[in-house]
Amino acid sequence: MSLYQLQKLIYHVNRDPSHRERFRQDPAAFVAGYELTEEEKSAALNVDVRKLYTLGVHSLLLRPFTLSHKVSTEDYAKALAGLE
Amino acid sequence: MPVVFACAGSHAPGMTAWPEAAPKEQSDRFLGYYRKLGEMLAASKPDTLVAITVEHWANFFLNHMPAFCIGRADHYEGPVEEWLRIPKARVPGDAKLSAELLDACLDGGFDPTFSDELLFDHATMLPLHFLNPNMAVPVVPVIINTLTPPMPTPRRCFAFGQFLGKSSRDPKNASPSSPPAACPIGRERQNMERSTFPSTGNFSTP
Repeated sequence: MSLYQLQKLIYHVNRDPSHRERFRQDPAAFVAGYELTEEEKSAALNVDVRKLYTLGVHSLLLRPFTLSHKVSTEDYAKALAGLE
Repeated sequence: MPVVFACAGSHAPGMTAWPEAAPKEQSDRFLGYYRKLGEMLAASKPDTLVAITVEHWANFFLNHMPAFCIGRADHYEGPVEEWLRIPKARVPGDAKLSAELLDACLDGGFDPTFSDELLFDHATMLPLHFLNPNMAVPVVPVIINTLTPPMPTPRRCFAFGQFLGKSSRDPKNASPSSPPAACPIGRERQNMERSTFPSTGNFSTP
């Protein structure tokens, strides 16, 4: 579990256009720059909303990250349905 | 310097990012009032806006999270969010007033951090978009950590606000404020910690 690193990755993608572009161009290479478990890597690469949330990503990191990947409000809500 | 105008405003990003989600009449009315507030502010002819604001991981991360931070730059950039539908802008700062406020704070019992480089996210850019069109008036941002616990208490925030008000009027002679006897938003904060910020590392369950 390396939540700190996972959140740092999302923080960088959200705030910095050059990181965002690198993540878009070559996501696998980008995530390799962070100390992540395979589960975390896969969640970041697939923008897996529910998994990222249950791994503990802060909602105000998660929603902007998903917005920049065109996840609609409806899909976001659906992905989190049933979670506390 | 005198405080010529004070107001508060929402920064909910949907106001500019997806205004079509609200009925047009409601959206027009709401945003119309925001613009009217901007006109009232302009009519007061402010030299500088002291923006007491928050941020959403635009500048600070868990490697360093200040309780209070005062921007001291000549200018700031924003918005961070490409989806906000607010044009990128360079917002002028007022480094002189920032420095005066910082000195007053450190002399007066408050220890904010300072930053000569801050990005503005929707928390600051959205109100400025309506209240400071064309970013004509310089801004001194005062950022409070309302993002992730532990956060400054509402009592401390209230005292800091009172102090900033006094300091803005007279930086040389401000004195520490007494905390208020009761804090009306204390209960709200407890609720926020439970329900709005569930997914930080400080909680055992998401």
